[in-house]
Amino acid sequence: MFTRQVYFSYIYAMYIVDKKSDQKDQIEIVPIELDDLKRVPKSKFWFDWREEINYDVFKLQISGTDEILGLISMETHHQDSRLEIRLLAASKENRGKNKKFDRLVGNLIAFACIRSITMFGSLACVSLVPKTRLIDHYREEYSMIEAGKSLFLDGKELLEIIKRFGDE
Amino acid sequence: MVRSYWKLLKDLGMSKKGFNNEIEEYKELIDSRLTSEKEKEQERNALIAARQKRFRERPESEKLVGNLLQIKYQIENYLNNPAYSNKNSFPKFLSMYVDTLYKKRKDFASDLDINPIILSQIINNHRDPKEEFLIRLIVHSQAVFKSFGHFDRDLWPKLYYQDKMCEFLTTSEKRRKIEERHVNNKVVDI
Repeated sequence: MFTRQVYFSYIYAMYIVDKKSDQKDQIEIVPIELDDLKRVPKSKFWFDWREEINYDVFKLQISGTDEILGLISMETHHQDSRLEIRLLAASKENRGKNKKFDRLVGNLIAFACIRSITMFGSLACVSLVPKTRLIDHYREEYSMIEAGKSLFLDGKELLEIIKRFGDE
Repeated sequence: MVRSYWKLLKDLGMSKKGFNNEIEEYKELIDSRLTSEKEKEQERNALIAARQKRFRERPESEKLVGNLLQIKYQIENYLNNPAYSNKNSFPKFLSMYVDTLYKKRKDFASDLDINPIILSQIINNHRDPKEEFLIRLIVHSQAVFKSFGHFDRDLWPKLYYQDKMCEFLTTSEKRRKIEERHVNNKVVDI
């Protein structure tokens, strides 16, 4: 197992939407396994995910299938009651205007929010450092708040993301 | 002289369409890794300051929702990871639930129309909850979560019976040697 905390390997009632057919597919977000590293090359998932071996890495796939559609790597800052999204990537065919599925990134961010709530309750926080030109996108799409170069979610905004993408 | 933004892109060999496509693609990619320790510390301090201010202004009701969801997700995690089983999970999560919602446990007992002494015994694992207690607890939890989410009716019973299963597996292993003497396998001869 790649992830140190098996504690968080559970499945939520989340879904993605096929842009062509509008069909909803239930998804699962589970810890990545060592064998998966062969299936997530940089050409498809942009980053070298082998470098994330010391962090908590999860994969998103349609329930009952094994095709990886998205990946997220997170670091927990216990002292700050904060979970940081280090890396996040949708697969190549799910990026840009012609992507196959919608809601991939939202689901992965919501997963981070649920995980943060599970650990920190009312103090939960999820942060990331975006590309400067995408700050407005994350603020508008996910109601993220600016602090320095970072964006974060906590309180009402974090609960809203869980409600919108998660199972609440 | 201020050059047009798109002119600049053109000079860099990038079309307006190409630039927009690149932005679209980056929306599905996040790289937060910072290499400089100084920069990491600056970001940490900025986040702490912004969050402290927001937390002070946050309504108590929002904090309560966060704490209740924490209990629910922890129960779900626990049930989905039996490797972490322990025989006292039901009383542990029950006390978390009660103490999150009530200042005094006797008020919860009153809301469930049960004797506070019985509640105390259940929480301290000195008494098993009766079926009626479990049903009232489910009704209570579903009513509490209704305004902001949902609470599966099988969570509390699953938790309780997982404790029982765990307790059985622990004690039965110890008693196995004694009980084995009572079992004959005369019929089965494979």
